[in-house]
Amino acid sequence: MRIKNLSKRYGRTTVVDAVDLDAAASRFVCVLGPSGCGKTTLLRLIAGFETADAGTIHQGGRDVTRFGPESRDFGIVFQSYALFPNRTVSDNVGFGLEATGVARAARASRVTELLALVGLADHAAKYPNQISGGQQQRVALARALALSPGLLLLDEPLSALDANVRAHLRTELQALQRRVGVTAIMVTHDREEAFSVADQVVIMNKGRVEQTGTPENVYHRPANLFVARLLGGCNALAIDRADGAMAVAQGLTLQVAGAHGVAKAHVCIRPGAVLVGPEADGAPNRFAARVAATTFLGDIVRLLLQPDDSPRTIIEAEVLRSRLDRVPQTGDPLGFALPARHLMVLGGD
Amino acid sequence: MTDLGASQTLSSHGRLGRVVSTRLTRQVLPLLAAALLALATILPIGALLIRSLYNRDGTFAGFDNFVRYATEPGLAVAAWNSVMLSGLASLLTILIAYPVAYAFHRSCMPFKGAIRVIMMLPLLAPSMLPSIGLIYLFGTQGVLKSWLLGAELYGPVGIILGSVLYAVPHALLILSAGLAGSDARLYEAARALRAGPWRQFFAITLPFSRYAIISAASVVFVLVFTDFGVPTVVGGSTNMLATDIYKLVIGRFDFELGAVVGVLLLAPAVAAYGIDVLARRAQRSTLSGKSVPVTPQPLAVRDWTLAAFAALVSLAVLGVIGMAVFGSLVKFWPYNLSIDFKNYAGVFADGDDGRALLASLWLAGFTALFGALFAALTGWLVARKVGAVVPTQLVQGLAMLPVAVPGLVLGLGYIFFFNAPANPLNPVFGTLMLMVICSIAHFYTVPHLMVVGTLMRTDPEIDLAARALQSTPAGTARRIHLPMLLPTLIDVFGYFFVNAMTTVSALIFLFTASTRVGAIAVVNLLEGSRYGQAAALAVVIMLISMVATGLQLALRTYVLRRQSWRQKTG
Repeated sequence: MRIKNLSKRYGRTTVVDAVDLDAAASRFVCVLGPSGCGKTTLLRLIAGFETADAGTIHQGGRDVTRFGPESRDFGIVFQSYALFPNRTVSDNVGFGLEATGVARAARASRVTELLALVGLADHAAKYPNQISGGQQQRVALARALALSPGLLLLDEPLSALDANVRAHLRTELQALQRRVGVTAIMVTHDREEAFSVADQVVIMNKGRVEQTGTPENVYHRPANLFVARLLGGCNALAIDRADGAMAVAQGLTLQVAGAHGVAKAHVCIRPGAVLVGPEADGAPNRFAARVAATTFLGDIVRLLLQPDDSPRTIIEAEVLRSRLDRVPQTGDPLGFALPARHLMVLGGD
Repeated sequence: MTDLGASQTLSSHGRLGRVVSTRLTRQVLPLLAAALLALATILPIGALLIRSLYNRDGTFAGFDNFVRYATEPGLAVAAWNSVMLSGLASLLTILIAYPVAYAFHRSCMPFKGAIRVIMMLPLLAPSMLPSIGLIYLFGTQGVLKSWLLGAELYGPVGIILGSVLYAVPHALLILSAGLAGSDARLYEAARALRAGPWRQFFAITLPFSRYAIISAASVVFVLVFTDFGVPTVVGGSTNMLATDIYKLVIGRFDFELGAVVGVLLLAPAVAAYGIDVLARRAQRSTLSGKSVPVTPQPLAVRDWTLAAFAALVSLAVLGVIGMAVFGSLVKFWPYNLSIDFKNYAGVFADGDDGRALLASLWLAGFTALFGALFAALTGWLVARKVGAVVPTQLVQGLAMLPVAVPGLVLGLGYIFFFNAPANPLNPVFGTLMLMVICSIAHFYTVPHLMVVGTLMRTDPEIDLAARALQSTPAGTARRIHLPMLLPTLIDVFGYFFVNAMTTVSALIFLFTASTRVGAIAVVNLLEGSRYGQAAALAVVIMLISMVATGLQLALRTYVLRRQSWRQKTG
């Protein structure tokens, strides 16, 4: 699966803008982005429900850019599942086999095999509105795999489910994809979902690909501020001036490498990487501060810290509750440190 | 994954056939449907409009025909009569129908079921039937003639009474829809602010149903304005446009003036339709998806007052129709009131009336069958966006057209279009087939919208899922959409059947001696003052419609029960 320079416009708005994407065989690729970033349109272009204005899509060595969905090789799971309400679970799964004229006996054994694969053998004779949301999702998955497609497309397949069902199905989905060995492209706006299943994450914004890489890679080495913020909490300090290994950002003087010469640059650090209290004492980039607010989040305590040198700047820190003797109160003095190896210098807005 | 290889090879089998079928369905079918709809609607109407601007010898006349119409003594007065009497009848209809609709949806009135059935009766009979009842009650030899205080039934009084009786059920349906959808939270808020029942009615109920009132008034106005049946029976010497057009075309063979009257009938109908569309749109926007429906609470004084009023109206409807039934059964009105069935024997004998009734059954059957199939097709094309945008909008536009076109205008247009010597479809003129086409076209909008409404309720991604699974549009329609549509199709069939059974106006210009249908035979019998036979035939038509409606409801219930996938628990 190889996409080159793909673009799609509706009127004057460019929804998908010169997108490149490679999905190697049997890999799980997640397209992650905020709503309206063009990720669903990209998926529809790959499926052939929409026609690209420019660029090419190759699948298995064939140029399928101009092909309708009938002539491409994929299975798809929709956000709404789009199950056929008037057909039983097994008739839903067997629909594609029926439409392509597979003989009844071969159809039945394939359906049995697929239902066993998704663990729904006992529900074969039920109708979609008689089973749970999680079960419907599995029917949709089995249905999409029935024609043994070379590519599995997933459009926010878990977002309609309860949080705990979602976490469970996420693991199942990944295991199933590994077992079947199908290449999968999933569209989602949930970073946790993307991180937990993907071999490769593609981050989209305003129709463009901002960054592609493994989950580890994009999280720890975001290409720009947008990616850093999309993937998690992020303290971003605008750099006023930089000189060699030093930078002044929002009134804080920091030891940081590579800050020189980046346009509109920020020094960024994840809240979890900020050290506070005794752990910060004696470390470089340490600042005296006061607690502006605390939020209790269970295992983690989120602190908003106001540096004494720069009262207008707020630094967010997330600290394990077990590492603190007591939860600090608003107004308490509490020093923090920004370890140099966790500081990132990022361009962008 | 043992079967993996096997299904792979099988799935590529027949792929070319599926691609060709998909192309044909998406690209050719919408255009074909639009062409057929155009042939049955806009082309005949266009022919009528053109004819109104030409002389008999085919030379261009400009507005000469209109000037001739306006200046010929006695003609223009019909336009005035039509506007006045239709306006008055609409006002009365709304005043009667609104409290009844209110009683159905906002009160705990007793006997709702029975009253509802009675109020819907006139929909199942030709529009002449209530008027025949009026003749027996208030005509020259009517039993209650004195109730009119010396006024004459034949003329404005008869037209208004007959029209109101015929139009009340139509108004009731529209007003009910308006009053059924309301938001209980508004009333709760009003009660929290200590507003009493009257205040709630004037501050919430009435303003929120104003669009339904406008909509009902415009529909009723057009219904009365273009109705042929009532003024023919009880109009006496009061000329209306709808009766004039018939006299001009059939009596004087003056097709040009007929076309002029056709335009005069069409213009207000189109205007009223425009008002109706705007009103419905405004009505929809008054409700949000979060609205909580109102459940009426018992309130003795209100409930019994409304019940008394509704009972009075039902009694009037039942009395008039019952009187027509009674009249069809007596030996010799008003001198020998003993009961016999000779009028009915005539209907079922191998005579003109029997043949007309049989023709009605054929007409209604074919109209329902082909109408339902074609409505399923166009509704499907529009609701599931099968083809490209432009042909789909064309189909939708043409399907919406007939509701704004009076039956008389459509029928006259059919003469001009299909009877033109230059038209290669000319041989179809004078056949039952053309009458079937005209009936389908005349009643097309509602069934089309019923299909669209049903098919729009399902997730559009279902079609994409089917497409991704290699199903052709036709295959998806058969396997998925058709089962969903089945209950609606039964209703569509019933709607076409009953309307084709009872209509006069669309067919009065198109029948021949061999294709004369029952409803037209009723008109002919009334013209010959054979009231008993006319009543008997009209009653038989009503009974057939009742049986058809009963079957429709039973079949629908059966299908809904058999489609077990609709139930939550299996």
